[in-house]
Amino acid sequence: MKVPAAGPSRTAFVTAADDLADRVLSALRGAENAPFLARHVEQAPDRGAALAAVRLVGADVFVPHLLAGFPLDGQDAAAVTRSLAVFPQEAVIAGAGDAGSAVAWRDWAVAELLTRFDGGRPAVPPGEEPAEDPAATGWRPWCARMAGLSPLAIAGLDGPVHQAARCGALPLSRGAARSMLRRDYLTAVRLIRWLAWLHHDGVPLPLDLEAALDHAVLLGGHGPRTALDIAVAERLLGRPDDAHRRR
Amino acid sequence: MTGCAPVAETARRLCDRALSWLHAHRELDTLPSTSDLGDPDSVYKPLGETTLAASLVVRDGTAGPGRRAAARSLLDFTWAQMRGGDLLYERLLQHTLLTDPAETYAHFVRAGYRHPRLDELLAHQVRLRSVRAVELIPDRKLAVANAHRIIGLDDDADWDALIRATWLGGLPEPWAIDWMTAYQMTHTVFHSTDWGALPYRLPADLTAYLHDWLPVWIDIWREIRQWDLVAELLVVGACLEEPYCDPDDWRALAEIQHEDGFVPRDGDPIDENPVQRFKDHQHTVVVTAVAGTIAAARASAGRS
Amino acid sequence: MLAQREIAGIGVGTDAADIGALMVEPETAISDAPVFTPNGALLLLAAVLLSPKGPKSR
Repeated sequence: MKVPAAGPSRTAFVTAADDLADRVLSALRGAENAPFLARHVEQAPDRGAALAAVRLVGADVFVPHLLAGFPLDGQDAAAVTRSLAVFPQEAVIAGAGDAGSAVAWRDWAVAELLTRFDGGRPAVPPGEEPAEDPAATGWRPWCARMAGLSPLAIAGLDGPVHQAARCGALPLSRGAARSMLRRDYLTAVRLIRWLAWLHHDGVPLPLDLEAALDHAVLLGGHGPRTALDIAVAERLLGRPDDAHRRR
Repeated sequence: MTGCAPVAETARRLCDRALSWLHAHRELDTLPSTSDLGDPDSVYKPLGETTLAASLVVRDGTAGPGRRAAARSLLDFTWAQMRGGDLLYERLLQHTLLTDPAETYAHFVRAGYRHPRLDELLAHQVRLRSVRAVELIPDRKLAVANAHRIIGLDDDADWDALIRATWLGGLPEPWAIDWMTAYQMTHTVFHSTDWGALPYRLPADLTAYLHDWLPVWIDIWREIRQWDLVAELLVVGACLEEPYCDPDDWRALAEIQHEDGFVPRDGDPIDENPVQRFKDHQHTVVVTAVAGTIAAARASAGRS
Repeated sequence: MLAQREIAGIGVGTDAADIGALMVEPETAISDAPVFTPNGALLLLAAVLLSPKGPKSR
């Protein structure tokens, strides 16, 4: 896939997404109160970048609501809806090269959770693209797709992508092992998060997931968005909050 | 799964070319006339490896007349280098606890060569508690046990226990493998299955484990062009009870093989000097020949 | 509150495309898969246990 050179807004978006992921993590750990999302965007030095961050973090902004019983405030819901309106799907997909379906599925997850918590459904096209089948796609390209869909791997969310994942325990495990061996821990953690979702769903796995997660965390679990993937994976595995285990 | 059948043609061509390169360059690997080997890694080990490759061609019997003739000629050459087995015999006379004379001899025995005094000495050696207790790492113990089996020596090897003692036998985390351990793993499979002849001797759980993870290992080392290790991993796949042979991997190996059969060990620049070139890459050519032979044999066994 | 404050100066087209690219950022292009290294563990053992320096053959 052709990746255009990082422009100034791109760098700003990455920083903003890290800031937002930090905020979500802190909400997950009970250190925030509603409306933390709206407040975060409102107080950001670059509000456009903060809204872009909401798009980038995607369904993961609802991690505190899904996993820690955090109430969804109307203003928080409005902030998410606004991000979808400011950066509409068709314009976002234009930058995703041949991985446009990943954008559609991530947006599907956001819309799905907004509906659940807020009752309203924003104007987002439904994720109608068929989920890719690991056997037909081949484990390696399929894992590349699934790594991009890691925000969908959360307890309470289920759909065609999750159904495909249920048939892909071995392919996902291979992908995670491969990324670990390449020392690409960012990708590894995303795939491990999917494996943790499968474990939570009762699917038997061909590898020791706890050891793999610990290894990835100790050797390369850096950055707030990776920390968010890790926190979700830990909870899917039924482990105590990572904050207690780490310095 | 279709086993090795889809790669049979590629495998045969890889082996044909590799053998012809080994044959054409055999004079670059000759032993000094003294009994002192000096550094055994320099000449003696490559001779053993070439012998292995040729012995498998003879054993598996699926090769055409050209390849069989090349293999026979190579075996005659390496046997002559070993002075008809005297070198192995004298080496064992001098060093009772060494295992490499038996390991090297086994490749010759596989192809029908015998040295009666070495047979007699080995039969004595293998009975010694001292020899049985020599401290070898587990995959080397399997190498010795397999050599003894081929020569016809009874060493009471407990195959299952020997296999379980290896890295592979521990069903390890597949993402925690390193380069050297990967080689040890391949040798566990080579010796347990006697280079694909006894695939069922690898316990079913280990075979299943390899089906799960070989694709990953081949992928990561193919990506960084570690061709020598990739070729060994292809051998592992071909040795399994239900062989794992992905045509795309085999095509990749075929693509890096030169017209004359040469296969580079990795993606680094190749030395122009023929002696250095042989030294650096002979092992990879041997492994390629072995991979091709075993896969072709498994493919034709699957057909019958 | 956000609704009242228009986000000024966002070039929606290119910025949205940037978001798309970041959403599907690919894996690392360069692998750091294991290669040969003189076996650190064995060297350490040799140093600690004062093993004799053996022949190079394995």
